[in-house]
Amino acid sequence: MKKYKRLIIILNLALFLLYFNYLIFQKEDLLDSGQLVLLKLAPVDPRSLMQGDYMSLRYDIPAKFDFAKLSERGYCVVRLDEYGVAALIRFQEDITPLGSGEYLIKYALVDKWNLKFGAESFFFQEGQSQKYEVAEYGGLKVDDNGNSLLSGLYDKYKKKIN
Amino acid sequence: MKNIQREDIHLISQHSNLTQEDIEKSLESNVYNSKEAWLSFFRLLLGSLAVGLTVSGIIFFLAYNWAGLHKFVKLGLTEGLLIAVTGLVLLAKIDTNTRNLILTGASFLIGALFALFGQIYQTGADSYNLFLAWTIFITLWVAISDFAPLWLLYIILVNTTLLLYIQQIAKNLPDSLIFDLLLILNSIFLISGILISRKNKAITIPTWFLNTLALACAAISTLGISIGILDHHNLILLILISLVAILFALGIWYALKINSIFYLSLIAFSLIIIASSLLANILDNEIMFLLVGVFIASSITLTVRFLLILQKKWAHEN
Repeated sequence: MKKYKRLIIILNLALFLLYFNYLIFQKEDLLDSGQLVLLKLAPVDPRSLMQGDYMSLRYDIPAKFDFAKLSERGYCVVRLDEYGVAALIRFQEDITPLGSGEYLIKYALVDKWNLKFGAESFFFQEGQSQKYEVAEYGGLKVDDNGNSLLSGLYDKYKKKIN
Repeated sequence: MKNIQREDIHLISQHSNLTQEDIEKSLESNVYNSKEAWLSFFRLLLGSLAVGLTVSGIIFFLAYNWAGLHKFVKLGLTEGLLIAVTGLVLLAKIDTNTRNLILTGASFLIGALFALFGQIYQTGADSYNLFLAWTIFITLWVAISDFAPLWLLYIILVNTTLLLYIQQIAKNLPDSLIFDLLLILNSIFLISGILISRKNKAITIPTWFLNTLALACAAISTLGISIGILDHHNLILLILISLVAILFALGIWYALKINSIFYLSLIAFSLIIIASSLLANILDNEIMFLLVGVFIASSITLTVRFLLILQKKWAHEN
């Protein structure tokens, strides 16, 4: 094998590993230092949504709003109650303005009726679906820029389902 | 006669005074595969099996032990394996084919890692980003490998990424534009493949690879136009029809030049399907179903007859 090919193979591997582990670091950082926000799951009969090894999620907040006036991408501003459950305050296009006690969650408009935060399904091992049927809240970890990561499902006592 | 088949020898043996040894000799030199050919076949077969089974073994191991493993163990194991596999490509004294097979396995592992990442961090909705990253991070390997199966994986990934981009990011584009873009993408791959294999004798591109690409182009053309006829997206359909017309004309010209039945039959059957959907769209009743049925039966019979005649003619020319 020619020498430059060797170098390119190594270079590609190195670039990939750098990028991939940076992604992992980013997510871990968000999980460690992000603020936990509980979003009420929309009552769309969770049992029928069980499909093999994942559960599709719909959050309750956006359901009450008229999306026609919203821009394609933006931020959802929420305020938390004492248990960490989010209540929607408003939608906005930029990360500012932001009052104290308010948190940002980045959203994207799927179509005229649906918003997504990037975590619309929850994956788990096969055969574990019963455990997750009692889920009432989706727990998102959010950072100051509105990036969010689904960290787990929570039951009605706001306890994480493990 | 360049290409002597088993049937030719059989025919000659009955109508000539060739001895049994002569026949055996000519069978051995013209028809039977040599020991080397069998060896290289087995090397390729067992090599592909080894790579495929190893990669799927890891995926099943992770899937089965999902809940029992810490996420860093899952990621670390797979990353370690990727490094080991790539190391094997670099260090071991192995022939080019085996090396390329291992590199293909490594490219699949990169995809598996991104899938793992998506599952662990619950980023299921973000599949466009993951496929884009997978495509980008095997590009260099694909470029230096000169290996058709790896190129095929790459082209499938580029197509998937483009599809996901249209579905998840560029949602305002009309659906029927997808076919235009896919056709342009794949015909660029096909035409450059043909050009490279004809201009540069040092690079051999296997026929099955080019035929797969041609099949993809024909399928996209056929589906695109058939759906477009039903959808009435006139401007986009017009672009697609002009593209397909140019491509098919090029295809027929090229097929006649290199005596390829494959391209001709592909184009013919694609045209038959398009014509049928056009007919079905004009009138939507029982009579039309009968007409379309008769049309399909007769046009296919005629096409096959024509292709057979052509094939016979070309066989005699060689």
